[in-house]
Amino acid sequence: MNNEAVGVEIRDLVKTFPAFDDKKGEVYAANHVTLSVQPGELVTLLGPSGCGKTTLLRMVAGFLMPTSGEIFIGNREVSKIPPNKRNVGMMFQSYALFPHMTVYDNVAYGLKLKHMGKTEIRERVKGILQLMQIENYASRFPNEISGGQQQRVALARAVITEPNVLLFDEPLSNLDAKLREYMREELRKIQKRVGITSLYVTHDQSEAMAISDKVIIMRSGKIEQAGTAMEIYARPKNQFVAGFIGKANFVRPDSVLSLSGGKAEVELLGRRMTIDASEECRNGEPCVVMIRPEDIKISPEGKFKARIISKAYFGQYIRHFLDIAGQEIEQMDFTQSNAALQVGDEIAVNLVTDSLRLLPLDDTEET
Amino acid sequence: MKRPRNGIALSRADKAFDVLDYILLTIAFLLVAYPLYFVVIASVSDPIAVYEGRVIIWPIKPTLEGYARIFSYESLFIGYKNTLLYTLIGTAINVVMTITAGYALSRKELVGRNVMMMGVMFTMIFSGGMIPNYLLVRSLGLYNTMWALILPGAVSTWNLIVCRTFFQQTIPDELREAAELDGCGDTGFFLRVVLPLSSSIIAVMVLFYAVSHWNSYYNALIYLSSTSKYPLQLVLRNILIVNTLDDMVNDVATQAAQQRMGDLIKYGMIIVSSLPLLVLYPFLQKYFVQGVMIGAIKG
Ligand SMILES: Nc1ncnc2c1ncn2[C@@H]1O[C@H](COP(=O)(O)OP(=O)(O)O)[C@@H](O)[C@H]1O
Ligand SMILES: [Mg+2]
Repeated sequence: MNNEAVGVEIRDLVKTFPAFDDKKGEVYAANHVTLSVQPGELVTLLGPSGCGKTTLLRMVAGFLMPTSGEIFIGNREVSKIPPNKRNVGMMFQSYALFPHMTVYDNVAYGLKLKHMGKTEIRERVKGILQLMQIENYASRFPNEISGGQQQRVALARAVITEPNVLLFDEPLSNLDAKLREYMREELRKIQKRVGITSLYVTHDQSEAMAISDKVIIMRSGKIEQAGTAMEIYARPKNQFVAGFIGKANFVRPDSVLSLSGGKAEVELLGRRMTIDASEECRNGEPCVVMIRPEDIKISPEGKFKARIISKAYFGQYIRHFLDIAGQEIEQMDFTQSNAALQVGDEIAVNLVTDSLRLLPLDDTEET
Repeated sequence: MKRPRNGIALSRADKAFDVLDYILLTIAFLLVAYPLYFVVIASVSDPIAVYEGRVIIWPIKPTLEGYARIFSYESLFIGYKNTLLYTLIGTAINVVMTITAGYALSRKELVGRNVMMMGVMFTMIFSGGMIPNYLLVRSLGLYNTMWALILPGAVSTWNLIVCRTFFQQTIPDELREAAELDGCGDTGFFLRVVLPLSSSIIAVMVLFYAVSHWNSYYNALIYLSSTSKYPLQLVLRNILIVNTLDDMVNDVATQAAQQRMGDLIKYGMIIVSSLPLLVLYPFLQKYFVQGVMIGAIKG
């Protein structure tokens, strides 16, 4: 694409909807959201269903008016500009292909509306269909091609007008698991090749981790944490984020002896240790320790006694549920060297203390 | 019936089921088809034979006298012409108004949509009644014009709801948003996307409205005074009346003859008035079924 890539910036964006249950209340679908997407970057909005991802995306597209706040595309404030003047493309969850038009006409539609010359349209459409590897289906109708192909048509249609920003609303959720994994790689490749700034919505954490430059975790209209997949996985700010990205055990420490400067001295499962602490932890407030299943190592010299409660084989790893000091804890063993262990065996384990993390206790029910 | 389905042999119970199926369907078919057939043969039979119940399978003493009589009325052709005109113009107005209104009401962002919908529903339950309607039509200057037959019922509430439901179910919001991003406005979207996807509902509406225009006579009876504007149904009704009750004739034999002629004409008229629709129906049948389904899913 010949456009210079531009960034997206969202400042203090609020969107409220009237609540359904009581007449006076309001639902915050976006609750003072601030975020930025660098030019050419792919940023994912990740969160449970109903947390406001679609609402946020639709405000960027221009289908919804924000209650307050600003949206910048490049250095232009767009929140009062109609969707077709914002120069954004969007790939919809349902693909939203026009059923009565061929693949070719679907893709060409936006160019036709821009009164582009016939030959130029043909060139452009041909090029993009080739890029998406669907040039052989140009004269088919949407119901005559597979889900994955419809997907590509939808993407072709979204990028053909060379938008500054590409928006994706759970574009893979209608595909089966295998195709989904394949298509997300494809999407990422094409996004990189085109170099287009993208905002991608999903509720699937592995999808988010696989394709994003940056992941933004949302809950109830608020941003909980933003960063690379690795940052978020290794240093979640709170229990919600830790539980949403990857798996984690949350164990109440026996006591927190000291807490300062991102470090905490705790007594955990009967042993004293120093671990990292989230900046959201407060002295005197209830906390939990995050233990990722892969950070529990089975070893004869282990300092913790454990008993195997259950065991399941997953190919790359074996999953054990262990009883450690009366707590049930999930463990994943990637070493393949403990395959002979049986349910009921008494074993010893070590914790990778560098990876443990003290987080504020989350007592809300949502996950 | 012996033919196995998909190459799988039929069990005894399957066979019994099939046989029963065919029997029941045949009975149902006869129940519907025979009266139609009877009208056809009765219209060309000797009225005395019809009266005595002897016309059952074949016409008896075939005669086209009834038809000759019907077509001898010049007013019949005027009636045909009028009905055709009312049906064409009326249906065109009906369909345009119902489809556009139905689409507008299907859009969530239409301001005041619920209030409008309630207004529409209200007319389904309460109406002014015949006399207020008559007075209204009069004072609007529609009396004795074809507009009195067309405008008051330009939008049928039921059909409007059927249309709205159709659009809600078949035109997803995302489709419009996709078009919007491409720079397609509301009108463009309606013309270039909604209409091409709505051929079935349009066909249904054409059929519903055309049939009701074709068959209607009551409004014409109330709102039209000049016989030259009478639609077919009204003309036929008058022909029938003229041919059955003629008080001037006191001669019993003549009266009886006229009575028989009246019967003959009656059957002929049914054919004359419904033949055009019967001819049209097979082409629209599949849409008709669809339309009934749309209405059935959600009111
Ligand atoms: N048009 C609307 N009217 C009222 N509430 C809405 C509307 N759209 C979304 N919401 C509410 O806003 C919240 C966020 O919705 P949404 O953005 O669709 O979530 P997500 O895409 O993350 O699943 C939900 O609680 C939803 O019920
Ligand atoms: Mg959503």
